[in-house]
Amino acid sequence: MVEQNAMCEKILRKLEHILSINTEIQEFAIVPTPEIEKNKSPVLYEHNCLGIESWCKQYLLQYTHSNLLEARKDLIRNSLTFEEKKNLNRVLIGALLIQPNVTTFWNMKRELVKSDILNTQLELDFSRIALTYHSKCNEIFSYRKWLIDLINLKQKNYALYKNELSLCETATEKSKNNYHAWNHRIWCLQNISAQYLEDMLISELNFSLSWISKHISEFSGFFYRQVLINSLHNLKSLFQIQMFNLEGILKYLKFSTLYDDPLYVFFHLLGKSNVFPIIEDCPKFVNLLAVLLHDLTYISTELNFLYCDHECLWNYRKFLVIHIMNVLYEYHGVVFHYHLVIPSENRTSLNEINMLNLDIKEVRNEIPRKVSSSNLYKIVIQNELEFIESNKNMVNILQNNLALRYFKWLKCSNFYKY
Amino acid sequence: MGSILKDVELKENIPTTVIFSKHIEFLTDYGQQKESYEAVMTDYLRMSGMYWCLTALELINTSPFPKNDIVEFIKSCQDTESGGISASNDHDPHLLYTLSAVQILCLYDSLDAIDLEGVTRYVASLQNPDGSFAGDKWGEIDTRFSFCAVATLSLIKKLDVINIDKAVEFVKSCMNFDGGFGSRPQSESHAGLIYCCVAFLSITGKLDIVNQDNLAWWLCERQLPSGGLNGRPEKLPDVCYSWWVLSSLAMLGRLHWIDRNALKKYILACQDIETGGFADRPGDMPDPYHTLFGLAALSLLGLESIEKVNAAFCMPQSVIDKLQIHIQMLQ
Repeated sequence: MVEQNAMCEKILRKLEHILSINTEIQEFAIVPTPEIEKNKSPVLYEHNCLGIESWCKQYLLQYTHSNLLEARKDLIRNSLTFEEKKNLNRVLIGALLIQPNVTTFWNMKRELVKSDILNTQLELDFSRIALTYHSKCNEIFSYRKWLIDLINLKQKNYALYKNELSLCETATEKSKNNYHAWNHRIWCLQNISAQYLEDMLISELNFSLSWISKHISEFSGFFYRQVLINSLHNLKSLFQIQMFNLEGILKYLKFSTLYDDPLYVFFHLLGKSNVFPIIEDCPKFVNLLAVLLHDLTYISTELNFLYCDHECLWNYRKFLVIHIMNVLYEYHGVVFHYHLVIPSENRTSLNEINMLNLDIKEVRNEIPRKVSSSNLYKIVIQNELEFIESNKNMVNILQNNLALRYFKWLKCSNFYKY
Repeated sequence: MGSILKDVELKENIPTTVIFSKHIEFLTDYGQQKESYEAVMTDYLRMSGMYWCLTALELINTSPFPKNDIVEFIKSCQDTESGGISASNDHDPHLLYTLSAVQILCLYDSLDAIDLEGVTRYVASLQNPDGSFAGDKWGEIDTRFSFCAVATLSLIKKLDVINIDKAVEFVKSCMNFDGGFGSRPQSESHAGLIYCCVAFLSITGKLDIVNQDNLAWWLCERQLPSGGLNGRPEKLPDVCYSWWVLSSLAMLGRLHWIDRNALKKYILACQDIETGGFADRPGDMPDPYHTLFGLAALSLLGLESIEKVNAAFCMPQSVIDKLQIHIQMLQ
């Protein structure tokens, strides 16, 4: 036991030393190794990569846990000396690199930050390193949010958020469907100062497009794009609308117009409105519609033909269609709440079958004339029916089912009328 | 083109009945490894681990552990200052473990053993002006904590100490267009968090704010050809989602919208016939967490040999009845 404790103390000192002299550490890992050479140090360190051999994990875990929990009350009571607090951080480093989901240990770090033993910038570095091995760990993201809020009390810092975005990208590359990492990215978007929001939205829209193209089966990426699109409401200017090539999109949708000005194209698509235009509101509608139509034709259609059988693409399509309807209704001054209307025969208890696999009859919806007679409504509904048709009756059963299910959904939605 | 559906295939020789005696063995043994490496690894969530094991055992009508030891342990985990309860000795108090502790005490009819005023004070102190709840004094916000707060307070009959309207408003702000809920406003819909939010609304009697059929549709989409349920699009089926999706459907009055036979077959296939316990998927390592949610889901599916479970609290219905707590269930 004494021998093991000494070994653990040695490992901890070495880890602490390396982290203190090198702030450029790129990665931490626990490397699977059999327990062979106990007299060789299990700490691995080369090319800015830090690791420990797996055999020492259990000794380190037991040693750090018992030491930290023993000191927990003293830290709360503030009865530790400066030196003792410093030493405590060494143990915390080891414990949290191995098992970062222990909230109590991060709380101890928080207390050390508050009493100025630890520096916020260095803590951002440390938690970044911990995240490279445990990229799904929510406690790490939570600690970073806390640190950033603390730094921001003094000054809102754009670079700080930029840095978080790239950290999130690494974490989402490492673990698929990394809910916490995407949430962290959304948190950045929600917290950045308004003056930077437009820049960030544009670069994030580009980022998310390329990310989605490479990760077609991860819904979190699609969801993030939904958040970006919903944020477009906050923009005042007609930002780089060319980016979405409205002309090309309309050609794709087989819609011809004599106008070049996006605003006039917009009016041609949506029809005459009694409540519109409030001219200041125009940019946000045009932006929003351009992005929605771009995604409907590019992401949801083109990518669907490239990568068959992806529920994510069909799900994202629902978002797009609903939000196009939303723009259309709002433009005509009609309140729109998307909801499904399930026919009564589908509501009965059947027990042995999933409701979505039942035949669903069309529901009769009353759609405001102004909406259903607009060019946009007609092209979108027509486009959806053609899209469903082109994906039905395929050899691929899965894709076929996704198309059928989507058709059922469309038929039950309260905006559908054919 | 080959299909790339993310699902599992159920083999021929899968278990088709509940192997009760094995599960009792599994859950009983689990609670007894105190000094092992695994015990240290899971120390930070011990209180929840105990809730999973003890509730699972109650659902199959067994309680092998001396009540006194358990109650004493919980008492030793309450922080006298804040009133909150921690996962284990010397850890920091947290809402997650405060709820687990209160749930266990309800199972053992021993709520009076701890300082209930302290618990009330603790939960109330974590509500923010926007209605949300932090998990502990350091401020992480999540709809899970909103659920923990109202579930805890409802069990100890102190729901009136928080601002319910504000709390509901916050949960509502986490609703997405698909009817689902995420952990914070503008977070992705996730079956686990949907359960938290739906159960929150069921306990507070505010289920009418849910878009019933939009959400039920999304939940039905979680069922895969194997019968199992996933928690988000294009993810693998998992037994714990059987509980979260199923209990949400139950509270929404839409339990009959999924293929219950296929789901039952999937859950039964996730039992480990050698060691006992349920795993996330057939053939994986079993653990108490999936064992509780597997058994609870089977209870909702009407398996008579398992005690009736309450969909919002994930506790035996008999315990909730005894406490005279009523939750809202939609028709």
